[in-house]
Amino acid sequence: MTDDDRMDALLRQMAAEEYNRPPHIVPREQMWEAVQAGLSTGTPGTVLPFHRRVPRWVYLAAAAVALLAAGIQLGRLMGPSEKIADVPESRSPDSLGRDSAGVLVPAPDRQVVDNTGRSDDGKVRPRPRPEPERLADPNVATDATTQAYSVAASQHLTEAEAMLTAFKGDLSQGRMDAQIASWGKDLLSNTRLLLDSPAGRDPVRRKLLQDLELVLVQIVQLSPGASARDRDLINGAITDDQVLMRLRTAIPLQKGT
Amino acid sequence: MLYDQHVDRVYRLAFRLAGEDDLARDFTQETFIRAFQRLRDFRSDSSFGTWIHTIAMSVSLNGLRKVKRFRTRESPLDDALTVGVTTRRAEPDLKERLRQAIDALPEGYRTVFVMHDVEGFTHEEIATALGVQAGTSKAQLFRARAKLREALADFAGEWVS
Repeated sequence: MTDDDRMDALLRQMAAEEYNRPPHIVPREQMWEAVQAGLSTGTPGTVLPFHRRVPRWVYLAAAAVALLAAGIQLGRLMGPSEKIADVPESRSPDSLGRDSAGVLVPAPDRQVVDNTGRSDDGKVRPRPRPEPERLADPNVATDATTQAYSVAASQHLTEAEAMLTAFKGDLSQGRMDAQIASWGKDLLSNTRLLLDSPAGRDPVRRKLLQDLELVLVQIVQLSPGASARDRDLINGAITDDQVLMRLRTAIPLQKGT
Repeated sequence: MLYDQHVDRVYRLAFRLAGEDDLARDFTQETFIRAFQRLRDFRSDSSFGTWIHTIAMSVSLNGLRKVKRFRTRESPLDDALTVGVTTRRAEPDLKERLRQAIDALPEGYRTVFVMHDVEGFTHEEIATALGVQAGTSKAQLFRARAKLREALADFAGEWVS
């Protein structure tokens, strides 16, 4: 046996005894409850081998495009727009009742055009208002809108899951980074946008977004010098409502994850 | 029950990779949720244990990458610590030095080292779980051990004597 072999054996033995040694008691019951909760609220997922991955920038680019498309679509549905009626080009008679070519033009029907706003009896009548434009019903989402919303929501949930995972990691080490709060603010505003969107009618996702919003509000308000109790309260909110688990199960599987 | 039969090993592996109870629990739970959701896709030509460890590795490595990305962005200097850079004077504790050296291994080396030398997986099991060839697993283990020997060279005299 060479020195390298002996050293390998010692390293192996020491690593097995000391490196990230798991506790003797595995929290089977607690994890089983979480698994059941996740299964009851989860969506089907697919796990691909980890070597089949697409570069992250592809996802980011796709997400940016999807968010942009969703924003445009929602804006079209919800935003006020003024439709300018197409006025057919017509010959208008001059004061003598002739058109530009000098031909007499019959008087138009008074009921249709009445520039004076007066009726036959000379009384002033309110000028008829132009017919209001028929706006799209914001509560009716098209398939394209729903799809765009789903893509935007999925991307948002993915980012929220990453943020909460990092937050929990920090909690376990008893620290709180300011970047978490900044990240949480961005997520909080996007969560509210998704909740307010008429395309977000899925009750399960809506409930998840509402719970996520509550957690994010607490994280954003958490000061860097907050007590351990404050952090535990947030951790409790994440754990009790199964927010992280529900996020993970709500995220549709992406290729390469 | 499948859960009772495999949960301990999945949790142990997740804990070895994550080093934190919270993360290990999250990874274990997600592993079983995904496994039960995809149970109909399980083909009996491989053992359920092998299949679930494939899922566990995918879930754990992806989860760790997310955490690492955030922590790297948070404190980029942490990653500047590489194998062999630490000095004995800075870290007199051998166990701590070993932990740091394993943590500093490239992801592939570390994963194979933990699975094989720490948790006792075979190269065939590792190859299936990671979607690589068994030869690749062996090569990565060889390089991982070499890196660790290099990182802990200043202790070698005491160990082998």
